[in-house]
Amino acid sequence: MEKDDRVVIVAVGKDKPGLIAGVTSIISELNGNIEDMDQVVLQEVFIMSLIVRFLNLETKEKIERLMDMLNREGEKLGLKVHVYPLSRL
Amino acid sequence: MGNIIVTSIGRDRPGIVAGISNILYQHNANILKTRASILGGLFVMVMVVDVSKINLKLEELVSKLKEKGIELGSGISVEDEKVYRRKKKLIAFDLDGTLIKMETLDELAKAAGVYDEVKKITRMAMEGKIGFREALKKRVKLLKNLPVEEVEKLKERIEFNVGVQDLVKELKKAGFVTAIITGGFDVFANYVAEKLGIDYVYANRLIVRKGVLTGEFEGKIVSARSKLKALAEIAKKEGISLSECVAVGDGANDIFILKSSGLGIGYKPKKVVENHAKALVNSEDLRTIMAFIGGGQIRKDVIRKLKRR
Repeated sequence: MEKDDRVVIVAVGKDKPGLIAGVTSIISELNGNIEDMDQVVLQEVFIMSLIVRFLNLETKEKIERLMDMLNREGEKLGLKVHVYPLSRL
Repeated sequence: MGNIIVTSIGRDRPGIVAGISNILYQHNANILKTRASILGGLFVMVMVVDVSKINLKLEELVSKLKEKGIELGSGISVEDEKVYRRKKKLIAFDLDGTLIKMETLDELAKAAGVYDEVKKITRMAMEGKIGFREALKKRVKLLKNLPVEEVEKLKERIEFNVGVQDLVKELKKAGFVTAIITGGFDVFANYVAEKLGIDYVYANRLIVRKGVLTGEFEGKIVSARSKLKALAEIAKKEGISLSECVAVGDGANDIFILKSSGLGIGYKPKKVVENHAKALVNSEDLRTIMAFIGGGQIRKDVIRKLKRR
């Protein structure tokens, strides 16, 4: 399988201030680099999709840790967060 | 208060979205729409932000965002949504330090062997101890008897800042009226204007008699207010409003012109300028400016999606 450090992150929830700050702070803490981002509020629903490159994300544990952290943050914020490694799509 | 548009353009690095969005969150601003992408090697992010419920003055939020932009090493602009959406039609550049690398008055002073005295007066003017007009008068007086050939020779040493030629070419292609408004001198401004194909030049003229400078000048571009007046004059002639103008400059005498234009861009600005410009560009490359103006492909790609709202 070809090496690909990118993941797709999709977050959906009820809109309020702090959602982007919450999710992107975690990404930045984990040294992820946002390469593409699209975010919109449709009828008070917050929808965000990101393509993020994490250097050296090969190991399964790392991906799981990332998913875990994002899910926990998502719960705090009232967001459903999904992470898909690009290599598995 | 409607929405603001926050644009960040610069070298890609982690933490830009987090940095900007955290400031917005801390002050209860709500991000309605974001589009970010890496385009042409630059990370470009545009946000539409609802500031109706913020917990501080808008100016304070704006200066916090600009500080963050500087810290992150990106160019940043914060604009009112309505003004942002007005098409820009005219652009006015400062000369010394903005279009060209040279500080021409300093170089003239060196050629005349009066550099230290001239610097001293410049400093006094910067510190507000004497007025701009007085300072200019005194400095030009020190240049008395400098042969014209020496002035001409300096022209050949003029170097453009990075990206200037490309930027002006693109602006002209996009139909912009272009101008140089400088407190410096027409010999240099006209030379640069001719090289770049700039439409208007407002500058001061060094008076020459018998092949040497007389130590006097004529012209009215002697203060921040007179620069703005010059811009207003060009805009009126072209039937363009000030909100459709872009101004680019770096110094204290650019403050009014930056403040009053639809988009004022501080290019590697002196500290006093930062608060008065809606956009700050600290990168060497002036082509970043094209991205801010929106005529460039970079920002167009990003805002195409925003416009669907």
